[in-house]
Amino acid sequence: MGRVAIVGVGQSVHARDRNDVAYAELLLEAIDEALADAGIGLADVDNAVTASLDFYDGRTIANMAVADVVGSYLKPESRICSDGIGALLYGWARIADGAHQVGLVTAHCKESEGNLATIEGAAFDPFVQRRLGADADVVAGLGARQIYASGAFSPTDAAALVVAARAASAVNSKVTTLEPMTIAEVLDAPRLATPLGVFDRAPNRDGSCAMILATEEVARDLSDSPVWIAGVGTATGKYWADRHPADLSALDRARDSAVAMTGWGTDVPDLFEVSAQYAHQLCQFATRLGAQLTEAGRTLNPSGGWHAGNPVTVSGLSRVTECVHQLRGHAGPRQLHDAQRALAHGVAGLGAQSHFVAALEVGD
Amino acid sequence: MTEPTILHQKINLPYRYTAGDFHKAFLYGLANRRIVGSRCPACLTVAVPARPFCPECSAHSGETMDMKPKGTLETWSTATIQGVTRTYGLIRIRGADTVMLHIVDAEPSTLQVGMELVPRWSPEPVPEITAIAAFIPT
Repeated sequence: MGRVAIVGVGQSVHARDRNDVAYAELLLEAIDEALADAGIGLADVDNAVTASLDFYDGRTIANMAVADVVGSYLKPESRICSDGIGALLYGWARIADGAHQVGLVTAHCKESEGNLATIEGAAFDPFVQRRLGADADVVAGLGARQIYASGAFSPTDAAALVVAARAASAVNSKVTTLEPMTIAEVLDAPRLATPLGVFDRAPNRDGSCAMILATEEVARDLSDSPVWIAGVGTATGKYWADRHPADLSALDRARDSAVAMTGWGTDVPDLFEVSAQYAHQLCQFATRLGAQLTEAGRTLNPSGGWHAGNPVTVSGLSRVTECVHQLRGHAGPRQLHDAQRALAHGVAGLGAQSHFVAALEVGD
Repeated sequence: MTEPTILHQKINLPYRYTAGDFHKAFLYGLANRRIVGSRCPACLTVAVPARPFCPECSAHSGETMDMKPKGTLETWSTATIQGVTRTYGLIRIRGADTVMLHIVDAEPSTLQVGMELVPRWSPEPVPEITAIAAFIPT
């Protein structure tokens, strides 16, 4: 199995309503930046894996609406209906198995364009749940009450992560700077789905992310210090209503698979970029991955994470992008000292059903 | 051109879902004011609502079984969705290894984990989850 590097990363600006661009153009911003970062052209790419969701794009087989911008005509193109970090795992496999040399991985979403209540409502089982009219926030609220009741985390723990994410948005030029907020303001905000408040959910955003993957040979040609994909893992848990929210066995499996491929042993990575659309889940996932919640905004989600403002589908790939910037030492005002190893995490599905982990490192 | 051009369209997507034997047993059970579960022939997990595959081991469900129309509240959440404020709960029907989503009709401040709930049946005997209007404290 060949070694695979990330040789280029790019993101659009993620904002509330990107009414200035159609979604293919939104994706172009990320692709142009990733290609320029890698120092190659679209013609040098030999395959593409895209991530998008038809319901958000308002079009069936919506990957065909970005086939031109990803340059996949007459090339192998695949698409996953999940977070973009899943597309990264797929793109990694294509190169690791020796069939391809240079791959483009993308994710895009405009949460602003569809009706979120309809889109999220369509995720429910049609036989025994959907007619009840619940939404994704209710699923999160039901879970949050169980997590808080267990004593593992408190609403204050979750609010502190929201505060840190909002502060970090000010030093992340790819997201909209959010108004600073105190823990008390997060806790006292109007309720979303009890016990959760409106700031417990990551903000509604439009945005895109793109990445160039390459074989070791190509990577060493393009860069003196490529970022290596040292391990990957993914697993899907039970349907939300059949899974207690404290059951993180899918996350465990994804992390263990990824770390087992590395030579890290039990060493703790230098940084964690963790995805969770709801703040109590971020407490859970970050802790389970090995991060310290008190490090939020530093070695935990220096980018600010999902709560700094990314769309669904894109968040996981954005986490990988931040890890690449940090490992290269190019993270500007939020650069961590001596970051060599990073874990990036993504999640997808109602009630955080599927988890993805990518282990990244620099060095020979 | 300074103003963005926004096209407003609507996709009308009617759908017919074939329920299959196990969901059918559950839904027609509701129409007769019964709560029907299914038991896994391999690991004996009891799932309510009845379903074709075991949520624990993925085996094809073996038989359906009538459950007592009683359950306990495991968690709840109150939300206002499209102008309607409701409390949703996850309810464990007595004897079940799973929980089911439904509406809980009670003052949220009176709710407690483990409290007993019973269905309040809708006057309409329809084979739909809405045959139970809500679960209410006993």
